Amino acid sequence: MSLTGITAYLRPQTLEEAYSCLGSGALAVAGGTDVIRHTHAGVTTLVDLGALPLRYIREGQGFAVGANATLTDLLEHPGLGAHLDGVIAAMLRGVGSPLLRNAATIGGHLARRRYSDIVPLLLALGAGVTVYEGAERTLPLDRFYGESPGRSRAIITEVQIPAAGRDTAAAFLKFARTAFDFALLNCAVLVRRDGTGRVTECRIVVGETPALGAAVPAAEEALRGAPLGPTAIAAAAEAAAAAVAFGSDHRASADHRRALCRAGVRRCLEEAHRRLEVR
Amino acid sequence: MNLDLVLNGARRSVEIDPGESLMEVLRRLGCKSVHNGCDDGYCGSCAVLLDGRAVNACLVFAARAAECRVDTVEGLAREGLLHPVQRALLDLGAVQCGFCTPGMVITALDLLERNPRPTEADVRRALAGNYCRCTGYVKPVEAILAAAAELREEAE
Repeated sequence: MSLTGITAYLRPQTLEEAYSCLGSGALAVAGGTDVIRHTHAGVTTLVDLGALPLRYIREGQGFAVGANATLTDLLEHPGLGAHLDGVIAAMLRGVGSPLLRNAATIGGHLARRRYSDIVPLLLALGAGVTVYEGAERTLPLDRFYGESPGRSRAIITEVQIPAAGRDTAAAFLKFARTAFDFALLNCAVLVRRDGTGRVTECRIVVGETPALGAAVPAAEEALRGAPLGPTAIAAAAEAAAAAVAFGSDHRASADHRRALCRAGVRRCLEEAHRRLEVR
Repeated sequence: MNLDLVLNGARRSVEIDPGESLMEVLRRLGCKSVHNGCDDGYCGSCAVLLDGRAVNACLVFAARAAECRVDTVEGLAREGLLHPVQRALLDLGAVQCGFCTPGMVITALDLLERNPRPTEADVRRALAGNYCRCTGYVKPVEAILAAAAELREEAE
């Protein structure tokens, strides 16, 4: 869908140059698949970040994913695809069609700040993000979404996904009308337990409430320190359904979302439990 | 602004609007196989190969294609012979109204380039973003599997 009223399309070669281009009337473009579908009041200049050398996936202690990596790049990377029982790849197969994933980038997706299956899972995995605002800084992804709301000049340059040991499992689940529609609600969990079977670390994230995904501390508290099993899992699911402030929109009512949340958190934790049992 | 790209193997230079989609520009250049089905990234009728990967041309800014390889169905035939994927779709009756067919051909090329031995499930997953409103999915899937076998034979 062509955009009207655009008078310049810039392709900066360096981060410094890109940052200086992002003044008033300018909008950053990554894959462009979302920007091109909407009108943008007051925007006359598009700043294409695609020429920046940010298309990479490095595997070491965890993964460093450059902002220009496409969703297909993530899905096809052998290490990232297999990470935590393939939880990232399985989630990505439900994000848009292959045609969309071949163009959409991880940086563009995170900058969009809405409609996301990716954000809840990355939050559950404890991901970090590096942004450039004259200088680069790295911060936890949840803090990134906690600060600087609205249009910011910050350029996302990299996402970090931490390594996980055999004592850790994750799971993701989305409820949607079709295989790759936006979710009515989604859930992501990460659970780590010690030798006695007790949960030492956990993250429970619920998204499309319809707000962007966020951790639910009350649910995490219900699980932390308890033996991982049906009792603790049911308590965590109840706590999540009670704690999240659900909203209604054209996709689903708040009541429907609360019911989906209870079932979704339970199923995710059961799946993570199963994955730990077969290690 | 000016856009320089390699379209179906030939260098082209074209005047574009900075906010224009690649789909609009390709159609203006005469590539009418790039069909405008929904102009919103759902239907896959405008799929083209951008540097070898199948994308919705309606969701890509034309300016993004600067110095890129863009391939459409117009560039597939060699010395008057259809590409094996095109041939298989035709021979196996996998075309009803034909509107979605060019997009399916492009998606199939992306799939077979990376997975020469796809299962039926692989083909169905690959076609997830190509809508056929005649609902004729069975024969395209069979044709793409047949083309895969043909291409493997050619490679041996």
